[in-house]
Amino acid sequence: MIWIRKIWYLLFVSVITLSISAQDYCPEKRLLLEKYQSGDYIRAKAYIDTVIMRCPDQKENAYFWHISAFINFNIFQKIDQKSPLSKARGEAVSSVLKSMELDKDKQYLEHNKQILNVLANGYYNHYVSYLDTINYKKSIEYYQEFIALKKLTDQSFDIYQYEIQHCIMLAQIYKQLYHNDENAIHFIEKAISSYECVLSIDENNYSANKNLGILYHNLGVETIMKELPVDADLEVVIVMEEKAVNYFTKSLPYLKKVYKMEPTDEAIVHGIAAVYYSLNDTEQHIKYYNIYRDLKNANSNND
Amino acid sequence: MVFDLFVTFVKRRMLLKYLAKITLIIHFLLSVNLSVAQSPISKDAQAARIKMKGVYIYQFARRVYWPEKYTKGDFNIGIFGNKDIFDQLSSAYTDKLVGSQAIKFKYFDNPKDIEDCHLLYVINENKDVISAINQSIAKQTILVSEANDLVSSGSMFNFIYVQSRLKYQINTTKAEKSGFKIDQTLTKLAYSTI
Repeated sequence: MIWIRKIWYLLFVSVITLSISAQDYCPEKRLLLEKYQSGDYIRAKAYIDTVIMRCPDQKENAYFWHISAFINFNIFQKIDQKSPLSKARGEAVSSVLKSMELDKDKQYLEHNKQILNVLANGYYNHYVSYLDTINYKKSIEYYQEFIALKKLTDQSFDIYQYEIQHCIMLAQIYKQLYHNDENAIHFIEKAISSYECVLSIDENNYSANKNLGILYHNLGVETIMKELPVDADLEVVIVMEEKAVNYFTKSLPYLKKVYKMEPTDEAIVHGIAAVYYSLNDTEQHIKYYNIYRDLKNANSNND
Repeated sequence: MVFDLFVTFVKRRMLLKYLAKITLIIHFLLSVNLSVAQSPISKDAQAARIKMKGVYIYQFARRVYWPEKYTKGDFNIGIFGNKDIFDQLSSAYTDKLVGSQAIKFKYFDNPKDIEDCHLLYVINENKDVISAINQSIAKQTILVSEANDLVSSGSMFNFIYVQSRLKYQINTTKAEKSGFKIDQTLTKLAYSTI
């Protein structure tokens, strides 16, 4: 915490120092800076619009937007207590972006990036805390803000690791939403898309392959157990069975892939045996069931 | 002082909320593993397979017409050889109607205990067992088997799997000789008929 305070102190001092050298004549801007220096961020913010109105040339001033960013940033941090509802955060971001756009000499670049980085991390924290079946849409918005800001602040930022985690978590949320309302089939489609998103980045991702394999198998079973009426006509039975077999068939390559990666994972072997059972391939079912039994015995002996 | 206490309270609440979120995330991840660990050829997959057969059996009951004298009273379906199938089908279909007859289920695990029923589903691939049952059942009973082929089973309906799909065969000749009439849809959608 102490080092964060030191950084903010240095930022604060540097902003003030720059203010003395960079100001053009604009009394409202001077007032704005005074309010800012005295820590009266609310009044300082009120002057932002006044400055734009009275000194229109400030709209093209990188320093002015840099200060605006700091004012809004402080309101977000200190007055709004980092609330996700704070409008000041969004205004801080847009002010930084304007400043960066106008800052041809890159005079304020480093400080602008520092603000963006802190704001990005704030978005990430809110993304995590909103990641549930009720607030997930808001959570996605925060995640997108986080990614957009991180891309601006850190060239070496490894977006793919975050994307993988994000898609896996979203898939879990969508699956949960589907279990809460099993008529909402679109959630399962979204869960599948989320896992496919992971595999488009990392085709060997263990979790996505495993979950997609299980998901397709469960969908096949659910097609029969939940969608097929007990008094369905024969034509409907045939269509439903075709749909279920299609899901079972889709499930197998994903589970086989993770089996190659981790042949001692009991759950995967058991899952493959289950898929073969559902596909009525008795020979393969018995083969994998025996492998599963051997693994289970070996593991219990090791314990 | 009061403000400090309030801030501490808010921070604690935020910390607890954050911990709760992490717990939720861990729960999500664990639930995936648990679902696999318990998954198996598990009850759901077995139940789905049984349900498919049940739906077909119900359609057999509805789309086969018994001679007039057997269309009164309850419609009895016997299940031989698998209690799980009996339990699942009886809970799904008991008291559903076939014409004006209410379906009732009976379970048998010994051929000599088999009583008269309209339809008897034998879950046993052993030809000798099926043959013994076939000889002992009443004339009005339609035998449904799941043998390798219809002819050797001696039954009127036989379940087989073809490319992962459940299909059925019908011995229409035998059925007609015994006075049953079979709906055209049933024969049209059969995998084979003799």
